[in-house]
Amino acid sequence: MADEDDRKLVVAARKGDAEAFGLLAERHAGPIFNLALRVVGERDDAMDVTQAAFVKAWTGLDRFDVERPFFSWLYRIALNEALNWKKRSSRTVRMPEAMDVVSSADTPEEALDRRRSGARVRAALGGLEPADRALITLRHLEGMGYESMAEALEISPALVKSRLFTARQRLRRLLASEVPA
Amino acid sequence: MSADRLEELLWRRADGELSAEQASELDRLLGERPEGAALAAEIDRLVVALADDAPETVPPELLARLRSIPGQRRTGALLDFRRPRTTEPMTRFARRNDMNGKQKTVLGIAAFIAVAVVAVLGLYFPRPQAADVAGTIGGVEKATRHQSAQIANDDVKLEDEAAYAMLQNETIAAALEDEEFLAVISDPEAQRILADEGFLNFLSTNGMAEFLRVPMSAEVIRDGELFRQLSSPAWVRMLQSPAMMELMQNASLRQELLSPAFHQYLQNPAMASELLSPAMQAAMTSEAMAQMLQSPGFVNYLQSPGFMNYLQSPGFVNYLQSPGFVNLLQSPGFVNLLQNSGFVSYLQSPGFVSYLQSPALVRMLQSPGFVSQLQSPGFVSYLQSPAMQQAMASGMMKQAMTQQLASGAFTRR
Repeated sequence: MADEDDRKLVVAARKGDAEAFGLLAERHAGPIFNLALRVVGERDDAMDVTQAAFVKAWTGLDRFDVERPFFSWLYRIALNEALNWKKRSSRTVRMPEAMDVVSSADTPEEALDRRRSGARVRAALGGLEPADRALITLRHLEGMGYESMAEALEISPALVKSRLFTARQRLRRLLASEVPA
Repeated sequence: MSADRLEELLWRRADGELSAEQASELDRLLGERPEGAALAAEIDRLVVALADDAPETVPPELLARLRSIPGQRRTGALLDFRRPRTTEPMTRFARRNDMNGKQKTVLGIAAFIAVAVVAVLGLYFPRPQAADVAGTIGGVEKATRHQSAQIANDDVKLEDEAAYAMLQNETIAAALEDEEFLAVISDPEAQRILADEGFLNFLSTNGMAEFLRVPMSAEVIRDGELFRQLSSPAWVRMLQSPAMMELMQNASLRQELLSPAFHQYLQNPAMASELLSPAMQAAMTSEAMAQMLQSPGFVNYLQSPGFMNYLQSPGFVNYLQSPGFVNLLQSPGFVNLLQNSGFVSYLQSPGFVSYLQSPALVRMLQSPGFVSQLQSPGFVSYLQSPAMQQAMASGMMKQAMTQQLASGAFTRR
């Protein structure tokens, strides 16, 4: 079980086992990096945010309750780190180019439509407030459920639903307000 | 029933969170509202587009950085900062062959402040080298500076003697006893920055050690708020740039930093307040600033005889607080102007330096109309015209320009 494996690694890392911390980093760097990337928008910044989050996790391991999911805790640290970063930098976010997600089953027209649609959505995501962007990332990119999101954000599931709804509405309105290509 | 309710139910359906009761309600609403089907289709398309936004793979260098974090804790010793201070005399450090983490941290903090100060000076009279900085000023989009190679260990040699001598500075030792200061630097963000490999390399430059021998430097270091403000990742990246490394190796500039005039300048409360303003912070960490720091002409200008006197004049400090100042510094026209070697040479002429201190200029600099004129496209085009560029390099033109400025000609429309 992933949580149980994490727990063992955390316990070992607390004792100074660098290898255990390295394994934790390998397991969780992906979603943390992608969260950071969606919030701050630049790969280099996202790398710095990810590193800052892991440094905080490492320095705070002694305070972490091992009975709780490590990933949710780490995710919360990373989210705060990314939001703070955004607050400090106050730059316009340019969302990263996505990987090629066109299915081989698509016709050329469908492939083009999908690319255009993806580009529009990414641009609109960049126009959202960082907190809204984070909510949408957690739900749609990470596929987190309301409960997990609530844990990562330290708010109630009801509040998650309410804020996620608002964020999605804003995203939809942003997309609707743009001039079609 | 509001349109919001329909949208809410559609999103719940997309999330797979719709109860049987809500499903019936949704069906009913879709039947009642003509726009319902279009909204449902729009949300479905959006969900698909969001799901298609495939996650990116983690860069290998990031993974390497993450794996190295536990090692940094041991070697960087940033976390050791809150340990009880030993009673060992500082001189003992000088007998050791390798710097320990505490020493590195002390150097780091001090260097941070020292370079910040240099950068502030740079801000006031910037001179970028590349024309392509226009458009990046203001930091709308980051350029590719992070893609350049970081300073490697071998690029900078540790100036052991100077560094160890600096560590014997009593005021720095006193700073380490200051609870407030220790609290600031034990913040995880500060620790992360101070543990950065490139940053530690930067600390070993000769300029840092010399600057830190000045008693005043410790006072600056102990200003927790200042440190917090300067601990932004953007600052750290700037400090690691090759241009900054080179700048701090400049012997004449180091001498300038050690001068009493410079100390006095730093102690001006208005100056400190301006330095901490968000607008100033943004300007100092801009791409334009990175370019300016690479300019030999700019460094020369900092060393000109009258510059320090000018910095201390009340008029200059007032000007810094005027609303248009930061805008002016970031305007493409002004940055382009400072690329002109003739203009830089003019800035260094004794006549101009003396003019900088005149009450007329101070009044003019405080005028929003003047600042606005400097930024106008017409004025910028005029300054950039070939004839003007050529003229600026001539002694006669310098003289004429001084007269024009003195008469307030540029402020008249």
